[in-house]
Amino acid sequence: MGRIYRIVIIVIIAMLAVFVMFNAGRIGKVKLVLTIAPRAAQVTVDGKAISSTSIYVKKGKHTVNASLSGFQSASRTVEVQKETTVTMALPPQGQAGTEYLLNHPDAQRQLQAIGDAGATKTGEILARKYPYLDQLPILTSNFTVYQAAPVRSKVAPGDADIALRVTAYSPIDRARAVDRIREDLGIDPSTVEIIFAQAPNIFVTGDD
Amino acid sequence: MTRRRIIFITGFLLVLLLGYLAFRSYRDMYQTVTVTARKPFTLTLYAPSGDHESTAYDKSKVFFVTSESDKFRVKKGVYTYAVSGNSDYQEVSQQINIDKKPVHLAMPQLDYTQAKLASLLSEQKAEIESVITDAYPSQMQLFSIQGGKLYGQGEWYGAKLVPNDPRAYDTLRIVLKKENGRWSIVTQPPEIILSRPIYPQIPASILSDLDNF
Repeated sequence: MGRIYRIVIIVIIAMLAVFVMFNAGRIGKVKLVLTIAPRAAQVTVDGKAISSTSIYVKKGKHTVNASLSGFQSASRTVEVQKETTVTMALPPQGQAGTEYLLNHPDAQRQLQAIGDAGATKTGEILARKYPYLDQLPILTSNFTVYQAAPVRSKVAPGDADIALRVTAYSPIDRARAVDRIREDLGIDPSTVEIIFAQAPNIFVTGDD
Repeated sequence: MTRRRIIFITGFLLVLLLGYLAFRSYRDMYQTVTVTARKPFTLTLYAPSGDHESTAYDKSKVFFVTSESDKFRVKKGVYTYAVSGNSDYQEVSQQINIDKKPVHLAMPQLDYTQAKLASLLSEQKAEIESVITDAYPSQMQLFSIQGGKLYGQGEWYGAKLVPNDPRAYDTLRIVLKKENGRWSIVTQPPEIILSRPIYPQIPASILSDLDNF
């Protein structure tokens, strides 16, 4: 009986030793998942080269850098308190990048997948923030109102936002377009950036 | 210990427990409301009207009035608080639900009444308009200033710049601010629509008023 006890204790100690051996480096750390496209990019976390798609790091700020010849390098500093995923897509740069993507269709698919996921997420945020988006564009024979990217709004980097682009060739049509924004979209025009295309402002240019 | 003594102690403990529960339930009916004063304004808390959906309130049901920073214990419920000054200021009122958390009421900066702003404008109109014409001398030969209004406590001014030929130019909007006794143009250049995302420093109510008249 005593011998069986000894064997059981030895086995438990051995299992504990194996567990500690494999997890010692992870105690007090959290998982940082790296989704980088193209996957061939050289990735560093706090300057240390990483070859796997996830690592365990201490809680706090960490800087992820990714680079690949023919692509724009990217860098992101993240605050890691729990398991965090860092997603980075390196845009191709010049002929070398284009050639790389032609020769590596898998890299093309990886970049596309990250772009699609980002676009869907941004689209969902915008639809919640601006419920009138599904009523755009407003098309008439004299003017059009489209959704556009903001140009001058003081938007926080990475924050999803929109502007309205009004194309009309006469002051009267621009005034009508603003009326339609009020009536059709049901919004106060002061709440959104409105870009008036083809509308020279003599207070800027001095032309008349 | 005799049976009589046991009954007495048990009864005493029960009374204590019931007393404590009654005290807790009484205490939980009330909440702390702190008020931060802003001279020369007065904050009035009006007692619940009984209808939680309604924003109307009965001015005769005053719960407390204060023009000093103070702390009050108020029975939980829906109240309306109004901040007022003398006859030069526009009163503002808001409904408030006093419930689980202590409430802090800060007195906002009140705007002047339309009448007070109009009288201030008559004194300053010439100065404001000369700031605009001096900034845009050639353009202002083609435009006229219309619908100029002061806002807030007279430190903001907004107007339309209406073209003499409406087929040639757009009607534009302009905002000026008075700082250290001097007026300066905030919206450079004047624009067809002045947007909140572009001019976050201008109170939203001013932009909305200007863009919609």
